[in-house]
Amino acid sequence: MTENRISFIVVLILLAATSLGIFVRFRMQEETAGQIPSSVWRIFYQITFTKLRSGNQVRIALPDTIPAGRISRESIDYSGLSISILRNRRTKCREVVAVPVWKDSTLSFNAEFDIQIPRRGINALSPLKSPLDTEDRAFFLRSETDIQIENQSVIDILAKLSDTDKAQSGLISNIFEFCAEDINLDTECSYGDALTTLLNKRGNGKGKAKAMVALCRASRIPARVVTGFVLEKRYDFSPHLWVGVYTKKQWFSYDPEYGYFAKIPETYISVRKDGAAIVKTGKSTKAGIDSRFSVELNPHRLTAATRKHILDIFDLTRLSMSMQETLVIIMLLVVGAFVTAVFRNMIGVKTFGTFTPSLLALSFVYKDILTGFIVFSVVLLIGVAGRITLSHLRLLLVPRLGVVLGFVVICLVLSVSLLAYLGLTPSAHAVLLPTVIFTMLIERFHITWEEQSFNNALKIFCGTLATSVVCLAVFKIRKVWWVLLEYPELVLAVVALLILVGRYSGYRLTELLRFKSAIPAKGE
Amino acid sequence: MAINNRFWVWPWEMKQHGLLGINARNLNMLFRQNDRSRYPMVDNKVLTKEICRRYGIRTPETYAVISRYGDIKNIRECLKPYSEAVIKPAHGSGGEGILLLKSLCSEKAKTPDGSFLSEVDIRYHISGILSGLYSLGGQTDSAIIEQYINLHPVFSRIIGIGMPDIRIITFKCRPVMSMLRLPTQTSKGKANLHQGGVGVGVNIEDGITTHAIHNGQIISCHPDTGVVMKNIKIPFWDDILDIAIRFSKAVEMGYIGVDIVIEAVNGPVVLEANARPGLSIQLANRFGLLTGIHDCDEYGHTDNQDTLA
Repeated sequence: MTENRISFIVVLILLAATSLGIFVRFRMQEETAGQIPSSVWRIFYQITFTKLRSGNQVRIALPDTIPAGRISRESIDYSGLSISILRNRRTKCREVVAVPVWKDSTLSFNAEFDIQIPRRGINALSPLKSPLDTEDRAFFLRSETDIQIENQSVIDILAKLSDTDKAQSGLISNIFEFCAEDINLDTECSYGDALTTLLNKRGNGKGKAKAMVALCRASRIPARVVTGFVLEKRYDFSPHLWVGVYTKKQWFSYDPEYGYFAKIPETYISVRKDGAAIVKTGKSTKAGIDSRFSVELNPHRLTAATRKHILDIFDLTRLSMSMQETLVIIMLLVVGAFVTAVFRNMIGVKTFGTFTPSLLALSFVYKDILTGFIVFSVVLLIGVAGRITLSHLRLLLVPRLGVVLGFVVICLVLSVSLLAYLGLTPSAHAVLLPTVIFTMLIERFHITWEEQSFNNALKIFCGTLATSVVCLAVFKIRKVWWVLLEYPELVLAVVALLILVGRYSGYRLTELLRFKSAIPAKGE
Repeated sequence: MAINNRFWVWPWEMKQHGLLGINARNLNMLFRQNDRSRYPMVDNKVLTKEICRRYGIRTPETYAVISRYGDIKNIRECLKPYSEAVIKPAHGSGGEGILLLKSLCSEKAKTPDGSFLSEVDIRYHISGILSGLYSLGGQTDSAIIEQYINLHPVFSRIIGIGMPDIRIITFKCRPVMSMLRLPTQTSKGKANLHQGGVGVGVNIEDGITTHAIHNGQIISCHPDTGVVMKNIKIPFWDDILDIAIRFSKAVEMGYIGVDIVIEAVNGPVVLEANARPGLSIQLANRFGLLTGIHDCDEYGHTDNQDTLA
């Protein structure tokens, strides 16, 4: 059998395996549709305080057991603080009240909460029955600095929404519709207060929630901003804001960002029910607070709660978020290899090294293109300049590469520090990967320059960059990440494509230009 | 659009002229014709010389092979008996790392481009070779010190510096295409085309030069000397073809490029061979390699351009 035929059969087998995997997955999804798989979520709090003076009080809202699941473990760790856990009189939420015991030092509060949600269907959170006394009523009707209910514009907007329907439920429905539909969602938005959001008809999730609270309060319906976490599979696990509205002696929940009306899923876990901040300080406090909150799915899969199934090993979405991300990144490398193969073997673009383009692209996935490009150019320019001076020292290969690595590391450290100074902090893992790639790129660039010509080196460098940019464009598509995570068998399909490229014996695109002069022109 | 007005050619035009692309070269020539285990015979010049010696094919005389750093200090002793020598990496490719040395008896040795090298410079160069700087894949290497080949008078009037060589592509031990490679000032005396050398097509039948290319462009005169490069009869042509055939039989490889230089007195010697010969030779000859291959072999047209993708 010829190599072509064998390759073709292998490709068919790989594609069949891919289709089978996707088919089985679809069948299983149909069976479990409408069910939340059993899962354990871990919420992390990392808070540090600076300039907290004695007597200053800090209130940190904590998650609580919810109807959908219970807190199976919590650990709280703090330094320099004296804490007590209380229930808020008004909202019945758990809160840590902390006061500093050490003066003028960095104080910290770290906590972890594991919330266990058993496998079952998706239910809606039922409204909370609770009486509201006059004082509380006034509290949930008050105007705040970011919920400006007395402003004329707010009143005007409310007037437009209320003139058609006099009933309270109709009005709430109108307000919700306005906040969910008419205010455009813009997650990059710099403001988050009710008034600006209402005036611009554009705002982030925070602004949308506050706008709804402002309109409710302006029409004398008690309302509150609820802060919490949504325990669902998604990539953004920052605290989420929704709205509680008090009617018929019950608190109903609304989410104008995700569009839930009066009923929100059980996976919404509330932390604070009287404001947008998880950490609150007294008004006169000038303390600096650095707070980070994150959520991870299933750090240690809880096996007791559910039966283990061998097929689960094919379900990557059950793994922890950080592990999922790492796995997607290594799967993306195969996609990058395919892009590079197409560029090199079908288009005929020359690159430094086989995997350099995709590794280079991968190191920029976490940066925005502009920052990445600036860092890359600075490191490369200084690196090549350093490498030229280095050639006068006549060093042996390995130590010389080490010195170039030194240049690269110094440049990277400085540029990361500079970026942080300019307020553009790249994430830590974005820094680790490129050092070795940059080093080899500089060395290869210089050697090609010396041995062939600068033009040739530049040409290959541009080829590397072009391939890399295409890889990056593919890597930046979040959908690709999701699809690979949900259907990892697609890697087999990419391998099949690689085999096809590997058996391509036709001309490369650049050869159509290169061999022009090999064909005698007519009349010669 | 007529081909004269375009800056590209269509794939079918290339196919019609029997042009071999790099993918087809790798898949259909290298993988099929060259057994992987034979590659060291041409990649390692020490082994190439050994094969040539065994089969009675002439190569430049080897003065010494340095494979340990400790031996570099003996370089003065090694070079003492000779006034000229060549130092090159055993695993070199593309003419990289080759040092041509003249006037070795004086304080500083002279290179073809006119610069002077001290003993320290030469030692540094050799240690660079040993550390794998010029070797294929970057593995540690040996340095070969061998006889300096003096230019045949036919070439001395064409070129300014360096050593020209003749590349013969053999397919199944038969010569199919040949090219004279001339160094230039810009190529720093190297004969490799991608470094700026001139490639001159040579008629395989009679050894008379045809077209010339320089940096991918068709030229007629040598860029340094202005000598017209067409219709030059290469001396010892039959011997050259004979050497190429014998060499490819000796290494048992189906598709190789044999690089031969003509010594002023003794005639052609094998300098080295290349298991992955470049495709620019087609530009210099202005016809495709597949044309020559079809002429001499049953190499079918059915699967030379088959594309799976």
